[in-house]
Amino acid sequence: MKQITLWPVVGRSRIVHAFKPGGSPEAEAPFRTLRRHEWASSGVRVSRHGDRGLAGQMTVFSCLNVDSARLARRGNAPAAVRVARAAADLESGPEFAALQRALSDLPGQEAEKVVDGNLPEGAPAALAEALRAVAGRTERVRADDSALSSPLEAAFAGQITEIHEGFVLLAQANGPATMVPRWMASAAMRDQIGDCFVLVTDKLDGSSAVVQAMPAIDVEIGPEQEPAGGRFSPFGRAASRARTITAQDVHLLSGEPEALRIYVPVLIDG
Amino acid sequence: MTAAGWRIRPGRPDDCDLLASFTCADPAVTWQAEVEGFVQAELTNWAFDPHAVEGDPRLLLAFAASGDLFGVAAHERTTLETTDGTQFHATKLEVLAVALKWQGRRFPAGHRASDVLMSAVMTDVSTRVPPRDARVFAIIHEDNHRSIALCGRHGLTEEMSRPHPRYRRLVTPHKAPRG
Repeated sequence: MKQITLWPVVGRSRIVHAFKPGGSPEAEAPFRTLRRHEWASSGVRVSRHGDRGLAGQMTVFSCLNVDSARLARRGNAPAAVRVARAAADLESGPEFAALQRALSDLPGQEAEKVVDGNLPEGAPAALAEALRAVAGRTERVRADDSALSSPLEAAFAGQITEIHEGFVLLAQANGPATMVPRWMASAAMRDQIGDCFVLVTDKLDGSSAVVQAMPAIDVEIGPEQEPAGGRFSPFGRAASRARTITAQDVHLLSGEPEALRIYVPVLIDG
Repeated sequence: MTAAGWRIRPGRPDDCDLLASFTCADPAVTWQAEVEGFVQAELTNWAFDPHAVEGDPRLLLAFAASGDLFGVAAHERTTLETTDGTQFHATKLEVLAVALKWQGRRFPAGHRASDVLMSAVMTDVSTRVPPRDARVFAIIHEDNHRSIALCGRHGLTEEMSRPHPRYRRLVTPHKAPRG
């Protein structure tokens, strides 16, 4: 099954931006705050190599840290801690280790470009595979945590189907489409037909939001990798699964319902 | 306030601030956190959604003599349907949550806080006008043993198909269909 999902790794600046949308994404203090409260993971160090050997290090984070930073900004500290821990788990897993190795093998500044969402043409297959593996595991974490499907945040994931002078058309598979300023798509390094990205609308208050184009990756998920049952919330009216019944249920529900049992006499104010 | 030590009233749109501070979950437990998140951030919108009036959504708030909000519950009329269109009218118990410090506690007369709240739901369902079908179901995470036991005490004893592998769907019983 094809699935367009957020690019699975980020640099520190994206996390800071999610926490302090109006501030400088390069600021140190907000990230220290996130770390001090355990609202962000420590990330993974990747060595960079130049012509003359080691050329420094960079830190790569799971994109779940962007979610935990948003949760922290909204004051949901327990969920922020929980998601940051999930990010740390992911960063210590085998998928991330493979990605770390693949990034370390890249020459020059290529690793930064990959972290920013740009997989260069001719990139090693191991790198693409590692990115997909991390993205797939990230999606499974998302599916298991309802805090990551907050109504305060809307994600529109799709592919570019049309390019115009000032905008691109981002379309969901067999679904609606939306216009996105071209400069915004370019900032996510997605400005060609077929490129995929996610438009994230992050609520600030009752009448305003941050809208951000985030790079995405098309993940082919096998049935064995799909989260059991997919995403599900028992709440709200959107999920038809809550109301859909089987033939066996029909048998169970046939016949007159028995009178409801009222265990404790209770009065309800008018 | 009743002599029994509690008071139940329907929710109001301006209860959103009160509900925003309602805690009922261990944040480390995902299925508990999703209940609390729904109550805090979405429940008043759910209850007073102008597009959902047809389902007669009801929000109930339960207070102790001290004024503590000890529980929150909500339900509405819905239709269960097969893919071939067979329908059954029912009430969905949308949520039932007991505040952290009231979990496991009893009132002086011996009634559990959770039983009082669930009884309020059943009373409310029974007295709606126009009347609801006496068929109530709830969707509960399979690890939520306390809620499963609570549902059992109040007659949600029949197991329907699961809407998700981790969630059970329990419904009140039916008399056997006539010949």
